[in-house]
Amino acid sequence: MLSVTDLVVDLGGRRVLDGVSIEVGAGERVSLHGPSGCGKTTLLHAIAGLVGCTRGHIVVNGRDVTVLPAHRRNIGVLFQDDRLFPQFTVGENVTYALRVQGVRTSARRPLADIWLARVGLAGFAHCSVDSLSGGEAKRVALARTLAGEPNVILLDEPLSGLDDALHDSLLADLRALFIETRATVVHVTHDRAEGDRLCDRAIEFARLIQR
Amino acid sequence: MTQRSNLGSSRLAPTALTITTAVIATFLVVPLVVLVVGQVQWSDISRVIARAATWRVVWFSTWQAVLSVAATFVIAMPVTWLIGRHEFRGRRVLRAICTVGFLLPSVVVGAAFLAVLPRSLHYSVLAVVLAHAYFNVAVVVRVVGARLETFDPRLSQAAYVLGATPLRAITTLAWPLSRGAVMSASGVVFLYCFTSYAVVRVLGGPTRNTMESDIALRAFGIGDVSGATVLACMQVVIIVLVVASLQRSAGREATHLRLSTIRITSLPSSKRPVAIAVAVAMTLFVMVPLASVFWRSVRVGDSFSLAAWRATFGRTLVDAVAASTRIALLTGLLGVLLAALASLGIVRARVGGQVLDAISVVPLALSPVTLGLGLIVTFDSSWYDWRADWWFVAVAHTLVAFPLVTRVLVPAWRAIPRRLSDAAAVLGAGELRRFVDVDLRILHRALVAGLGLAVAVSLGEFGAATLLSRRGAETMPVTIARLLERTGDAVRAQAFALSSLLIVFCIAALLAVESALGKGPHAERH
Repeated sequence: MLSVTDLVVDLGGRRVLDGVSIEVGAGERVSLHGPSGCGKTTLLHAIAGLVGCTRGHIVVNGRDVTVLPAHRRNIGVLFQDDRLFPQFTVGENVTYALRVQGVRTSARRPLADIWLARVGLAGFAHCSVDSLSGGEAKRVALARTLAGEPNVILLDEPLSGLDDALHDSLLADLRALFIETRATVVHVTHDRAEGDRLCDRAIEFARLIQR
Repeated sequence: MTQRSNLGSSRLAPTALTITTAVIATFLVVPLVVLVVGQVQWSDISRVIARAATWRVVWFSTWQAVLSVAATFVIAMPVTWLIGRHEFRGRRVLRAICTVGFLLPSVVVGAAFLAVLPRSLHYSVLAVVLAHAYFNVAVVVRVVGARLETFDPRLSQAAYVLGATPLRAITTLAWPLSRGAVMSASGVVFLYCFTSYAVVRVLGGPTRNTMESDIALRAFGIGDVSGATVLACMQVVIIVLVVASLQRSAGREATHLRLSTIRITSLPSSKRPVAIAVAVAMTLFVMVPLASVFWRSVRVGDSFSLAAWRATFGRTLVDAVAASTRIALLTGLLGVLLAALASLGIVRARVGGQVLDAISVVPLALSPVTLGLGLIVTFDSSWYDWRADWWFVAVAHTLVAFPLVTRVLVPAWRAIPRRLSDAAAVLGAGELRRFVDVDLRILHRALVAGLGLAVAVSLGEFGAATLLSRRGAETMPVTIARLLERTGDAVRAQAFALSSLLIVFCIAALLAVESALGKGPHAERH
């Protein structure tokens, strides 16, 4: 499903990733863990197309996407800081991917309601994103990522900084949703226990470096 | 527990409110009432409205303003995007360069484009539009650039991974967030261009008139004061309609104003060549006309000559320099005094502060020509010749500058922590003592900034001065316009020499403002 081979990324004249390789099967959930600053987020951004690769290949569903721009890769990202669009309502945020695909407004509205219900936020479609709590914003960001039906979902430490109760509750919901949607997930975290609870397989980030 | 201090019920604020209201009533409200009620009859209104020439002027004012707005955005947007989105070495300098045109007197901008454009383009719409764009680039850079600074590039990344192309990310994310700023800047630029006087008079030629220049022409060229007054009223109505629509759009955009965090990013190396090209082009656009003014001041025909500069410091033109200097200094003092009283009343008075706040912006909606016309009609008495006194021009300039200075002082007053005054009071300081020891000490930088601003406004003011200054005591802008209307390289060189001097004066005054604001307690700019 997702194959990263010998990936090299240089940023600002500095080599951040040097020969990273990883394989993730369809419907598999893989957790990458390692200390802060080891390049986990850069790897996710490279897979998503948000930073360019110096060398290597990224293949999704048998298609080499290494040089494709981010908007043509169909790879979803759940960011640590949510990145909800402040000028849109909750519903408009959730269906943004459908909007850019050209789905009409009348068709998008019911889909927004469906996805919001699946993340436990039924009735929130017309709310402003400014009115959401931290946990609600995370759920909206998750619904927005899932609604675009991406081939692969990348989780960039989405649960860091939450209190324990909210963290556990969201982690359980994420796991249930990913199992239900049979999503292919790459999850980066510095919290190994979190990765073990959410994913089928865990990889120490340092082991990805080939040389 | 936060409580409003009992010290708020001081006698100073109501006194300030009363004095300010009396001054505004005497020199602004009464002249306007006298102008409209005393000069205009119903037949004048129908006469002006029925005249085809009126609508030709309204039409020209409108379409040249729309064209000027478009030209301003075309010229300003690349540099606005560069400054608003990216951090790079020289960014502050580039932004300051973009602001130069706006700080210059409009008559000097007109002179600069006469100096730089080939003769075939003198007295053309293109010259007017380019000069308007030169003047207003700063508005777009400041207003739209400030909004672009708050746009979070991470939102674009989120949009990309959801399938949005870069263009789609701009149209769905950056544009909705900056639309309000673009509309605001467009409205402000439109108003400046719609009411343009000096630029149109210097560059438009005798056949092109905006409403503003037509008001002056009617009142003083052909003596049709009532017709000029009707036109002035029409212009006020149009200005009010534009301002009201701007405020409505600002209200709709209010929710996005919370995105105030600066989010600019470093300039990527891939964009460096484009950035350098944009910066160089803008620097040339701003600096070449200014350099041309200096150049043309020392050129008579095909040879160099310092005759124009000798005339500037000699008997021919020294009167204009002296008149402008003393009027500007008096305007600075009167403007700061009036604005200090007004802002004290607005911030501290329990009753009437909001009304004064609203009244204080009225001069912004009035053209200086209308203001000058009202003052002349009202103070046209047989027992005392007000217009013979040079300080009468300073009174008009004070009214023009006062709303701007007030906008500088009000936030400064509001920034003074009341607890300091309370602390002084419990230590035994009386009301006046607290005012001097606490308020004035904190306010003094804002007062210096206000002084510089008022001086700069007075130095460049053209509309009211055209009507109010007498021959022999004309200000520098009026003298420049008069010299530019004459033929001959030697005479024009004098206009360019005087313009050069005015550029130096204005930049010095505004550097004082910038310096004072940069260090002041209310400095909240980025």
